[in-house]
Amino acid sequence: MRASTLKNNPRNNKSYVIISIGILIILWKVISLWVGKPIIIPSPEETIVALIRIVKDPESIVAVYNTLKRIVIGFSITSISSILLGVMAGFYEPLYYGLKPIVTIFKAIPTMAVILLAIIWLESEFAPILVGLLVAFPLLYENVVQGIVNIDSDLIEMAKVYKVGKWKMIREIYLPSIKSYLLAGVSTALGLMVKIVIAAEVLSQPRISIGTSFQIEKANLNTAGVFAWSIIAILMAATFDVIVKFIKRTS
Amino acid sequence: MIVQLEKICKSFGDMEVIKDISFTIDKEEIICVLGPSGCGKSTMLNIISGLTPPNRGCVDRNTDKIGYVFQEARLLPWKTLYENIKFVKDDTPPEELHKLISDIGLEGFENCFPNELSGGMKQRCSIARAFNYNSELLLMDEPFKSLDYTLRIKMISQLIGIWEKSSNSILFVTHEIDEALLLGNRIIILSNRPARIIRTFEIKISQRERKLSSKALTEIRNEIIDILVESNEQAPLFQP
Repeated sequence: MRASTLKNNPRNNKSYVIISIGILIILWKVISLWVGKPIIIPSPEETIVALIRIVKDPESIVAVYNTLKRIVIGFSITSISSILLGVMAGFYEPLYYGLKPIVTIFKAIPTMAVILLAIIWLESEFAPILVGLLVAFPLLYENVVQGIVNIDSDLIEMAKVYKVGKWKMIREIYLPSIKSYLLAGVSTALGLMVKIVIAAEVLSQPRISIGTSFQIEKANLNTAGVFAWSIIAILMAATFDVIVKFIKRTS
Repeated sequence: MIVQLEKICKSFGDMEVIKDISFTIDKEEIICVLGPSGCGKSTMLNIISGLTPPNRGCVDRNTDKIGYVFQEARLLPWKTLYENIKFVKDDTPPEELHKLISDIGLEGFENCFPNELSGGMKQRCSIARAFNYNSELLLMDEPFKSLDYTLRIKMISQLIGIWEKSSNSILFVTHEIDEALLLGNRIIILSNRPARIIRTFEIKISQRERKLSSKALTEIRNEIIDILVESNEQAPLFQP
């Protein structure tokens, strides 16, 4: 008899996801009917109407674009800096211990404190980028360091005996070894970036953005609008996840 | 002469592992090194390959083309069998690589990843990788340790086949007397730790004509067993 694992029968697993979404929507509808106040819990239909209104508004596209731009810029800077520093720290112990207090501070500092400081230091357009960068950096950096530390020393020894060149060793042993750690880190960091950048936008209020739109809907007491923007943010994070999974599969 | 070892000594901390080992490896010969487990055989191979420096003595190498088949296959998990063999020498023509793969009995598995291969197949892949390197000296550290007896005998026959076609020398470390009898032009017997050479046997019969049940090999086997038992009786049962 074959043991049941997450890898078995992907078609069945997908149907479970669809059933789960269906149950969630039904629960949502039941709770909204029970509460009976759309200002607290809007119904799924009201949320869909709000979502259609948002999608039809050209300014919403600009808001999504601006937020996306901040996420991509912040994520690019985080990726480059964490890969560079992570690789160097993985090979050079003094740098690893030198960076340890900084990484610990980045990990422990409350996100809200980072957002407030970023708003004080930077313009509202750039503050969310800094916040996303600081929050995602330790996550990616530590994954890269782990990837380097866990490289199989037997493989390195084998390559040395066969006098394999340095570049070939980096390309064919080091990079594939850290790839799985890096992609796992990228997946988590991107999801976190979406949340943090939008949270920072809510507070810093750049001109047009998803975070600002959240704030406007809240000010207008339009809870259905807040729910609709949440759906957009969830779809955004899901799209990033699909892209990372695709890269994982193809590389 | 390919490699000459001159009074090699090696210690790890206070533990003396190798003591005054000297011998030469000549061209196109197979030397088998027999010794009890943990006596320092792998350390000796690491010293010859250059991975570990000796504390005293010198290793004179006339070649830098040294291949090494480790106890574990050490294959890159993200590369196929074909790519793993190619890894150590990119410019081998594909037809030569396929010939090598077929000689080692792995035809049809070229596109399999290591996790899809059995232990014996992985080890054969690492042997093919070592032969693809065109090494003048091939170091083999108990490569058939994880295989059952019949597969081991089959592998030895395949190894002799490839060795006959190449012109390299092999230093084969084992603690299986039959492997040494079937393969070695010379058999070096090492003592318990610290490893010293107790005795060297020379077998003049060609590898193809050897039969384990023959009188000559049986006599050598009995002599080796006596030496190993005597050496073991002198050693404490538990070494630190």
